[in-house]
Formats: sequence, C-alpha cells, structure tokens
Amino acid sequence: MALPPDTEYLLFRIKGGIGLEGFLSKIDEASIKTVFQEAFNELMSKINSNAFTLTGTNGSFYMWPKTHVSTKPSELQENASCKSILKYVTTEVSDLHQQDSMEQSSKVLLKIINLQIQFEMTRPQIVGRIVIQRRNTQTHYKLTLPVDVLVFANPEDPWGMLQDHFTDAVITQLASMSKCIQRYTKGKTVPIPQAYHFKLPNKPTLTTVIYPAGISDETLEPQRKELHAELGLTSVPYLRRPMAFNFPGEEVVSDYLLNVHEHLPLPDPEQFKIYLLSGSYEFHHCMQDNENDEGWGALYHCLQIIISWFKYQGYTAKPVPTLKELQEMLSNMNKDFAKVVMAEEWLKAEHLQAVLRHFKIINSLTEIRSKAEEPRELVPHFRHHGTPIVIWNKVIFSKPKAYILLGMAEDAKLNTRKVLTLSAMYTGPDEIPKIIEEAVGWKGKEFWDEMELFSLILPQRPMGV
Amino acid sequence: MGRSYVIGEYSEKYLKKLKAEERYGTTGILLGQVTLAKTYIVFAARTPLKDQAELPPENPNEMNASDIEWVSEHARQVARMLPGGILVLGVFLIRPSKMTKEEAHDIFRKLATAVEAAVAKERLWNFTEDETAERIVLQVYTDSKKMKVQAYDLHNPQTPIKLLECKSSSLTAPWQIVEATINVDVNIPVPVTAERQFDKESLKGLNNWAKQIMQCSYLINGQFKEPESLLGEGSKKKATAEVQFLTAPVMIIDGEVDALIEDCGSSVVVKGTVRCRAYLHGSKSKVKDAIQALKRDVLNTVFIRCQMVFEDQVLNKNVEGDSSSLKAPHRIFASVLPSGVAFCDYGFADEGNKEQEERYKELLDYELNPAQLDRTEEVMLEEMGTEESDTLGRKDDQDTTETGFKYKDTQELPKEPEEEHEHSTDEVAPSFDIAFAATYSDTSAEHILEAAVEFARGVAAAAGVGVIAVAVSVIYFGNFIGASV
Repeated sequence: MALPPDTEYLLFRIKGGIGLEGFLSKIDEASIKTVFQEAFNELMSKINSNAFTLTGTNGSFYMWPKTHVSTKPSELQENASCKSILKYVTTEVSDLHQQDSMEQSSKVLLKIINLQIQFEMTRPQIVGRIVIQRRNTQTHYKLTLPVDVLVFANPEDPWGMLQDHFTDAVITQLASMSKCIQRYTKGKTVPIPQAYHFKLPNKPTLTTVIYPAGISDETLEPQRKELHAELGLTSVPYLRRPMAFNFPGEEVVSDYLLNVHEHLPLPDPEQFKIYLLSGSYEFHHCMQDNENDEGWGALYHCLQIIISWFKYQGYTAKPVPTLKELQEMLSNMNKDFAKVVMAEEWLKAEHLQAVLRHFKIINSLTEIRSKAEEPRELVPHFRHHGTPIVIWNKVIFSKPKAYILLGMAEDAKLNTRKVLTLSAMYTGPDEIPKIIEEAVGWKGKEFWDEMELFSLILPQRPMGV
Repeated sequence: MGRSYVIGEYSEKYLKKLKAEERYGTTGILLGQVTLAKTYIVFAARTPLKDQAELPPENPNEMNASDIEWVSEHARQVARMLPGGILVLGVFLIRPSKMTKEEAHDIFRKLATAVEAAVAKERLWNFTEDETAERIVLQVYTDSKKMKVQAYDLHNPQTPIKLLECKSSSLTAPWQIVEATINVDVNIPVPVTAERQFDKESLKGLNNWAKQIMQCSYLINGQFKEPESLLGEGSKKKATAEVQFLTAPVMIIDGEVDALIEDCGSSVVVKGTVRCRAYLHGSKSKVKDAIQALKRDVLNTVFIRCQMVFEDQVLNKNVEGDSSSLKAPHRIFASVLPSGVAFCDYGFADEGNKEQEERYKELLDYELNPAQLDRTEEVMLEEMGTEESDTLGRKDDQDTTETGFKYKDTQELPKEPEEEHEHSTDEVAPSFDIAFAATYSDTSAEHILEAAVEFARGVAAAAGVGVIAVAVSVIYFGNFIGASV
C-alpha cells in the first residue's frame, strides 16, 4: 500500500544525544548488561515524564509531549491539525521513491521537521534534599545514545494525538537500542547502538533499524535475516548500512555524481513496468579528471561504475580505483594485459573479468550474436541482483561502444521494451543538464540496432542479505 | 567610561552608625551588584572581632597578614550567604582621624585581592572577559561626611588606583527576582590516585556539570525570550520570574563506537533538588544577565552544600567507610533589605530559628526576625519529596554535635569566646595539628602551622557559626602555603 502520490507528508525527525552514565561494582558481562538494562528502563520512564522536551532547531519553540504543553499553547491546541506547527519550525524537503506491488515508481514529497531532544531540569519528578553518596571501588560507565526517531504524519492529523506518537516512538527506539546492547555486548565492550532508516519496497514510509557501531555488516547478517523474515522481504538486500536513506544535508559525499539517472523522468508507469537497479553508483566517464582517454577509456569507466556500486552497497571497503590504478592493476596481472594497457586499446572481456575477480565481484559473461534478440534476461537480473550491467560491442566492423545498463521497461501489451542506458563514453562536463541530454536515456529498439553484436557482463550480487 | 559607585541607604546608615561608635580601624565587607556601568553597594557588615575581643589596629598600616586573612575569611563565609547577582565587592574601613594623608595602598590592595581570592574559592565559575575585575576599599572619614572609594583592578595591578566619590541612592525600590527549582544529578568518578583528600578531587568532577549548566537553554515564565531583550518586558512589573532550564543536547562524537567503561577508585553521586534565586537591580536588566546570575547561583548553592558536607566529614574523620550517603543542608532565605534582596543560609532538617539568628548577627551584623525567614525549600522537600523521618536525619547529625558543628543548639554565641568554647576549640585544633603534620614534614612549614593553628583556635572561638568551615579552610590555606614553600 503506497501513499497517494502528490501529497506532502510531514516527517518529524526527533534527534538528540542522550547520556547514560553511572557506576558499576562488578564488571563481568552479565553485570554490565544488567546495569545497562536498568539505565534504559530509567531513561524510558524519564521520556514518559514531563521532563522530556522537544524543541525546534531555531531554539524558540518548545514542547512537552507528555503533558501536551508547548510555548505556543493558543495556536497549537489538541485538535489543531499538526501542520500548524510549520509556522514555528524550519523544515527541509525531500522525497521518497515508492514502488508498490505493481512495481510502479512514484514519488512522495516530504516536509522534514527536525526536533531536538532536551530534558528539563527544573520540573523534577522526585524532589529530594541533596544527597551525596560515595562508594569505593567502582567502575564508571558513560555512553551517549544517538537517538534518531522518525514519525510520519498526515498534515491533517490532530496535534494532540501526534505528541503521544512522539513519546511512544522515542520509547520504542530506546527499547530497541537496549536490545541491541543486550545482544552485542561482549565482555567489557558495549557497542553504541545507531539508528539507520531504510526505504523498503513494501512499506510507504521509512523503516528504522538499530545496529551496533563498530561491527561489520558481515557479522550482522543473522540480524538482517531475522529482519527480512519479520518484514516480509525477499532475499534481496535492503538493510545493509550503506543503503540507508539519505536525508537532506546528509547526502553521501563523493567527488563524482551519484545516480544521475534519477534526474530523468521515468517512462509512463501506466504503460510500462519498470525494473531499475537498486542502490547507488558513481558516474565515471571519459575525459574526467583530466584523463585524455577519449576513444579507449570507456570500458575502464564501466569498471569503475560497477565497483562503485559494490562500494556503496557495502560489499567492498576498497576505494574505487582511478583510471591509472586500473591500468597498473592490469599491467601487473600479466604481460599481455600490460601490452593492451600500454597501447591504450579497447579492453576485452578477459580484462574486465580479471579486474572484477580482483574485487571479488562474481559475474557472468554473455556474448550475443543476433542483434534482433533484445536480451530479456535483463529483467530477472534487475529484479534479483539489481546491479548495473556492462554492455559493449565488438570492434571489428564498427566503432566500439560501451554503456552501462541501469534498468528495463516493459510494455506487456505492445510487447516493446526500453532500456535505460548510461554512456561511459560521454566526454562532457559533470553537469546534470548536459548529462541528462547526452549520457543517460531510455532507448528502444534503436539501441539494439546500434549495438549489433555485443557482449554483456552481469555482475552478481553476493548471496545473503 | 569609568565605573560609578552607588551606595544604598542601608549601607550608609550602617557605616554612619559604626563611625559614631568610634570604632576606628574597623573593617568590614561590602556586598552588592556589579552591572555594566555601575556598581551598587547594598549592604555592609563589619568583620567580627577576633578572640581576645581586641579592637582592630587603629592604623590600617598596622594590619598584618593574619588580620588580612581574618577579613578574607569573613568574606568567604559571607559569600556563602549570597543569592545570585550579589557579590562581595570589597572592604570598607572606618578611617581614624589620626591617619595620615598617605593612603595605605599596599595594605588596601592586599586586602582587596585577598578578599576576592577567598571568595573565588567558593565558585565553580569564572567571570567572563567583559566583566570588570574592579574591587574596592571604601574609606569612611570620621571627620567629615566623606566616603571615598578606592578601586583596584585586580587583573592589572599596574593600573593606577582610582579614587572616586560614592553616590548616594536609597536603593529601596524592589529588585527583579528570577527563581528556579533545579534537579541535580551528577555522577563523578574519582580516580584511584585521589586518596584522603577525596573531597577536593570529588568536587572537581562538578566542573563538567558546571559547564553544562552554563550552557543549558532556558525559558522565562514558560516562554522563550531573546537573551538581549529586557527581563521586565511584556510582563507585570517586578513580579518574580520563574525560570526553566533545559539540558543542552549532548554532542555525538563521530567515530565513537563503544561505551566508555573505566575503573575509578571510587564514585561520588550528587543528587537532589535545590531552589535558586537571583536579584537584578532596576528595570533595565537583560534576560542574559538574569540567566547568568541565576545559573551562577545554581552552581554556588550546589557547590557550597557539597563543601559543607565534606568539611563536616573531614572534621569527623569519616573519610574511610565503604559507602556513605550524606545529606546536605537545605537553603533558607531571609529577606533583609527593603528592596527585597535576601540573603540565605543553610540548615539541617531539625534546626530551629536560633541558628539563623545567630549567624546573621555574627557574620552580617544584622538582627534577624524569624518572621523574615523563608523556608520554601524546606517545605518543598518535606511535602513533595523523599525526606526521611526525623529520627534518621538526627542520626546523621549525631556525629557532628560533639565537635561543635554550627547548626546545633548547643552553640551559644560568644561575646567572651574563651570561656564558652573551650571544648569545641580543644576538639578542633588538635586534630588539625595531627592531620597537618602528617602530610607536610617540611620543617619550614612548621611555624606557619603554628600560626595557622592559633588562628584556628581564635576563629573557632569567635565565630560560633561556621566553625568547621573556617577550620578546614585553614587546612587549605596551610596546604597552599606548604605547597609554595
């Protein structure tokens, strides 16, 4: 079930660093876990009290979710629609791509309201004379919880109800964080629980998962498997940490443009079923970084694009190699490769596969002779693996070409197909309008005619989630 | 431009009275508020006499180190009685007519500096750069109506001393009050290396908490107000403003992966509720000044209570013991001036009014009427809080009674100290002898030890109030000297 498109939703993002601090007398794993459990329980009841305060980021609006009090009481009454708060807070804008069961793609606009967690010190729950306690031989623990809670709301929802949602949502996250600590604490090491938000295909809003910091994605696979089962997800990864949703201002920093295809409008969803790659990639192409490689470098860039995809999905920690690094890599592998590199020749399948093997990227190679057959197996590839595909044609009779395929659109009725191509041969500047014009596009039959005899490399997504 | 000084009605009358009593050479403390352009002197109190009830030297030039120390100690104790916004401004002197025109600059500067240093020990906060470091010595001339202020810039001893007139003003119009009830919950790990002087080490942990308080956000009467706006704006004139404080969000450090788990020798937890108050002169005070004064009061009151508990502990040698839970005193305000400005004192649960009256007489030279006492905090703690029954409270105080802890009924305020306080001085002084000697074997410190102990005896006798505080401060004072030798 998708949110109706063209509506603007309010997304309240409640953030704050909450300190947990105290002392333990015994430092075995069990005692540590107990102490943290108690600390969380205390914290949760503090959230459920009138000490829990939220404020807008501009510092002049305050609210107490427990008592439904705010610094604008007359304007924000219980039954007021919650969009009334927009007058008092600053917002950011983002959007969510939706893919419902029909695999239609649509966008939902979000107005993001950032709220800070604060605790009031002047409305104490328990009043007591100052007591100074001293204990010998102690262990001190201290932890800052990076709380990051999302609450979606329809702008017309009543304000009173929404405040209760805030409290509940924060408490829920704390409970998950506590579980995370209980699960992953080993010996004296207590990992900090961190919140990640994911866009899942079968849910209209973002889903938050708590992962322990400092533990690799590999080790966390059992947790992800459990989550997939709980959330009804297929065995395609959705919950790997690099795949988390990026809020405005938190976009991944890269020297290269990411996901340039997203700036292109999609083919009519009424007519076409669209299958796109999943995840993110960097756009590498000829004449970037002052490399003078027009005419021969395109396949190197295709490799970079593929490797970048694996990096952004967290499958490899190695940085994306530069053109020179790729050349070196190939030259070091074997003497024949070195000759090809030196001559700045168009790469062949064996070269591409050798590099991919180096990065432990399993792939399958297909050489298709007949131009008329548009390879239909691309659809299951995008559905199952979701990785970008390298396509290039043989050199002998025509000018060599190399593209990356990012997706396929099928019109069942008319039995036509379009394919989303990204040209690694592009030599223009890294500017979106130009790129949209020249490098990316949905192409039909004409593309296959152009490509004639071509080869495909389909990188495989590693098993597991 | 230059700062101007205004002296209020109460202080003027008081100083005139002292002058009329012909107590030349009397020194005392001046209290008041420092604002951007003016300093207001609202209160004056003579320093209590030393043990032999001897009058202070007629010529201030004859003041020695011990006299200066005496005045500073008075200032330090008075500083504990101040609400937010009110500071110890300096010292006054009833100038004998025989005194020559040459001002005793050296002594006066020493006095002003020593007083400020003593008072600063009670603070967890520091003045900001734009706050003045000017403190004063006010001279009251016996042969005329003149009162001259000598202002010393304590940060820059090279600055020429300013000699100023003091303007008179009644200062009886009500001052603005800001108040808050704050919940304190501080965890202090004490490193293994800190041993017997656990009080000093432990209280260092309050510094982090102090920083947080100074940075926290605030609301005034339930609303946000810009720091530069006027406090009195848009609300009833001079009504007490209730302030709410909210913790500033804690920074999340990038790259931090695990919780911090470290060994410490021991831990100190300070937990409870305190009532805080600050006074602001006039109607033009800014929100930011009011908030700063109130926050400083929060720090002061918590720090002072902790110090008092620890001083008591050191005295009773209750330092060892695996775990202890010590109750701090609560705060009692007393509205002393017509402008509403109140002073405060600290007391335990089962004490009556007598202690307060005695203390005010001794330290502030003020006759307190019990009706002036405002026991709001005490009432709040009893009604809303976790106050245990009196019997338990009494138990905590049992240990301290014998040693003459100030809040017990057994104390009589001395006029002729020697006779009445034999037992308490005997108990106090020898224990310091031993403690002090044990830590410092340096023989050059011996004679200072002698002087210090003498002082302790004298002070313990004279000031019925704050016996322990004074005595312990001697240790600190002694330590300071020992360290520098």
